[in-house]
Amino acid sequence: MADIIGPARIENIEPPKPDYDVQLESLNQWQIAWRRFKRHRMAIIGSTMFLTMVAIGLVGPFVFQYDPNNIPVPDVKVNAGRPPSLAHLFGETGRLQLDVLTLVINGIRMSLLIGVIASALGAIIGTIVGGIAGYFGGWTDTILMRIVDALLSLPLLFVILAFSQFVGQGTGSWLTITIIFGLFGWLGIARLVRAVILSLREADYVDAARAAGVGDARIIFRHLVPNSLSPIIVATTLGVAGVIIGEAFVSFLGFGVDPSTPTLGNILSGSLEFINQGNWWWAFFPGAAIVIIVLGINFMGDGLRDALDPRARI
Amino acid sequence: MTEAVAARERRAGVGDVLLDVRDLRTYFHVMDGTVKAVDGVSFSIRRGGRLALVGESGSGKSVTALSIMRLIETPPGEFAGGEILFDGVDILKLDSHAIRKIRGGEIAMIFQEPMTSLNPVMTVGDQITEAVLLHQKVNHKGAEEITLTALKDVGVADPKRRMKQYPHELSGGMRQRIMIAMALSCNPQLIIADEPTTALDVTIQRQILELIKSIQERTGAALLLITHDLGVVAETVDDVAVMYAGRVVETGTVENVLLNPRMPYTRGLLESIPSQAKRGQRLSAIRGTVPNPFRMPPGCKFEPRCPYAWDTCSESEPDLIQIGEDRTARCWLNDQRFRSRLNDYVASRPGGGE
Amino acid sequence: MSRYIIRRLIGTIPTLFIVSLLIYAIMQAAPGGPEQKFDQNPKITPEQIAAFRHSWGLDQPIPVQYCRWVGLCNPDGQGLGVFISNNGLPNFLPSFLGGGTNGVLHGDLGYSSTSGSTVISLIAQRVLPTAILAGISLLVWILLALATGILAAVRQYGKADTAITVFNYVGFSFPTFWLGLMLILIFSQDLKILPASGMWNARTVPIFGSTEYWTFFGKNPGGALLDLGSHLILPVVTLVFVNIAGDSRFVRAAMIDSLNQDFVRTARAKGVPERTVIFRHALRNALLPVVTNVAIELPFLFAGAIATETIFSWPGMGLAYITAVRTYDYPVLMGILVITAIFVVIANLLADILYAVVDPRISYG
Repeated sequence: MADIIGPARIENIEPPKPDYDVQLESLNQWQIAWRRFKRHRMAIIGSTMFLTMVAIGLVGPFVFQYDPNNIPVPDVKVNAGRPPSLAHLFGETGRLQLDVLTLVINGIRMSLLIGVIASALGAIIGTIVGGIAGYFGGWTDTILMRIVDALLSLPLLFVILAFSQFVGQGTGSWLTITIIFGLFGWLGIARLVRAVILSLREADYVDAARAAGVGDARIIFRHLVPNSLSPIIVATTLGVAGVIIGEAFVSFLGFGVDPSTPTLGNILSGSLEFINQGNWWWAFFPGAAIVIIVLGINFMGDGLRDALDPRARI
Repeated sequence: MTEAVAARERRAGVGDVLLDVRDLRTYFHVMDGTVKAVDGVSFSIRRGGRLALVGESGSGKSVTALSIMRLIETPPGEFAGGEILFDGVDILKLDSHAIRKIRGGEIAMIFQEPMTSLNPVMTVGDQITEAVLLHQKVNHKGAEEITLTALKDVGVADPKRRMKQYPHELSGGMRQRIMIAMALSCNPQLIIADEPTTALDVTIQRQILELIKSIQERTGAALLLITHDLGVVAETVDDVAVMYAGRVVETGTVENVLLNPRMPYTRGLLESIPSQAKRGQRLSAIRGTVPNPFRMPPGCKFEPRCPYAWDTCSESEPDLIQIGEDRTARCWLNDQRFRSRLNDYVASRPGGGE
Repeated sequence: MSRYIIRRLIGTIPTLFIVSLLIYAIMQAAPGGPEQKFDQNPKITPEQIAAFRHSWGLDQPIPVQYCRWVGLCNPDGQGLGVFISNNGLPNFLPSFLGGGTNGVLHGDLGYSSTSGSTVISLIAQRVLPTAILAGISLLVWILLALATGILAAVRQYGKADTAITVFNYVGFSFPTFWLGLMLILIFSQDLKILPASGMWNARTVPIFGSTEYWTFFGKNPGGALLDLGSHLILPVVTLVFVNIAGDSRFVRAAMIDSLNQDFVRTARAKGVPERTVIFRHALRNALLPVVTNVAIELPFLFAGAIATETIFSWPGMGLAYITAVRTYDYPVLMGILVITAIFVVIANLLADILYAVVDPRISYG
């Protein structure tokens, strides 16, 4: 026993006693994030809301078909449209007396489609621009960021409004509007990506990796990319909500998608006229759908943000 | 200040126990379970006495200090047991009004990180006067006078100018002096210093320690020094309590504990200090690692790493066994029944000592 | 300090320049132009359209149009003389120094192609209503955001926090225009207690901003304010409900951060009462990022105002903009964009200055 107290010699070292069933679980970043996400109550509620709406948007239009060229003739002509009933769960619109439920279901699909594609488009453009600015630095960075700052001084909604109207004149296809939103929506992500790349260049662990002999390409793919993915994912998710609301307003004003393709926004544009004739359901249900989708996205995005935050403790 | 010290001594009688921590338990309830950060801490400090609480990171010494001031957030923390008797009153049972009067007024704390422990948007003078105004019946002018005096006492040159400066304009050592000034501005009976020099340069460390010592001697306040540095212990305090895994495992005077440790952990710590006498020999270390707080060994918490352990040690955990007057150790070696093992242990002490 | 301000002011010039370029480029990128308003009118001949374009200078090459619009070029000049004003000095100089009188640089934003009045006078008419609506909404929601954010932070994860958080999220998810619509439905139509639109009661009160209005105001300030107030309630509630979330969450996050700082622990260790810890120590530090955040949000305030003004027929700049878009009134469009951009840039500058004043750690070097 005595020689264990004194200076230890390698031949005499006993292996340490078992540290009372220690289990080491090694999880990667995404598994940890998924675990944290599952625990976030609001995130789960939000995801459920959002995914339900996605399901409705995918399947609904096949059940509730809307053909702008083939509008059924109502049995009783009521100019302001009839209120919700068993036949028309969300009531009828005014004038043409369309079934609001059908419109809303088709609108959900379109709005979601526009939102997701535009946001993804913005994310891609933003990542490229931000990545270039952050990676090359110098004049490229300065010029690009000056432009981004200048663009951010403008109320972009104003610009989108004018642009949409001039391009589409109210009869634009949904793809046109989607591209417009994508083209104007990349600014925030560009700044984000640039900031991440800049900070990563200075990060201690990049230096440590280099000191250990890790090459640049590996650093970029094993370190820079995973770290920048998280804020990009969060921003893109929340971006969908922004586009949906934005498109709704643009179409509501009549500057957006042609009414033959219902979106939650252009459904609302017709409703204004008949509100003071007592038709509240035409305006209420599409708006409520927007609120549910956006609320779901916001809860989900919040959960994603907390789950993906590398600094959170558990 | 000496007037107040003398008066206090006359009232209470020097040598009285000021702080008596009895079997303190502070737990934290977190997502993965309950962390028993402090699970059986007992020690006491006399009026004017000086005790060091020594241990590795994670041993629970900071939590002990914060518990004494009741600065633990409950939830997720919980004072699960024990008593903290200060001047005869159990701190754990006081209401929030009473505890606020004690904080800063009777017990003052000096924190580890002077960089972040001062409010960046308030001048240092304001931060000290704030404490003074809370605990002493003076007006603003009087508080400023007291602040100036406190600054002078801690060796800050040109105190009038310094008072108006912000923390970011001062160096680390200077900031720690401000913290000390804040602590003593209200004549506390007990000063708790939580690793006051760990975040400072080596050259400044000595100055600050000397400062704390001299202030403590001058005012007659008691000192509880939290540290992981055994060298500091020897030079600054009279008594020492060693902590491991949330428990006190040995107490006694500095001479007794450092020269004749009765707990293998303490001996292991002392042996791992490199010194001239061991030149040319391999560095020794305590093998193994600190136990996982969620999976503690069933008996003595040090048993897996202890070279002297035998089956009793893994079966049951010893209490703090009284060895002599003011000397305890949480180790079965000190139990009457295991006399012979104790003799072997003492005999195996390497010659030369520390 | 003044050096810092001047330096920042000078720094805004390139940004504003780029902004003007961008505005022009974007508007040109969209197909068509001011002459599009004649599209639906079969009686206008191509010659008339060409004449219209010529009188507005629309047949010039685009860089020239931009140059004139900005105020760098003299519309009367020829060739290179285009950069020189009628007084013989560079055109971009201020007019009192001998420069030109046209373009944004000289305060000339052109003429509305629908009404013919100067863009500047139109904007001047509309600024005050927007300022009132946006300003009051901003004030209300900042105060509410502070209150709710602090409460949520101090009682983190408690019932108040959850309630406030859910409320914030719900509000944030409402499209502004739809909320306005629903409020009108409930309060104006069904309950009939609040006016549905407009800024003043056209039957009893003179047009806002006119001299008659101010005379009326002077004689009957209580009545005028009551009238204004009743028209403000619904639009302000709409704006506040939707916008409070951003700031409330931010205040909450900033306060939580602040409360976790070491110096808060030091304050408690000194025996500082909890309320003082919250307001004097934690809040003062938390306000710094909150101030910046409000500045960043200002552009969104305008976007929200557009929707509210449209629904409530509030005669502000937002409504003017929408009308301009509908009528292809480019000068008004671009004028409003420029003014808004200038305002945003100035607001950001003010926020930076405010931040430097409030945070002692920042030196004005």
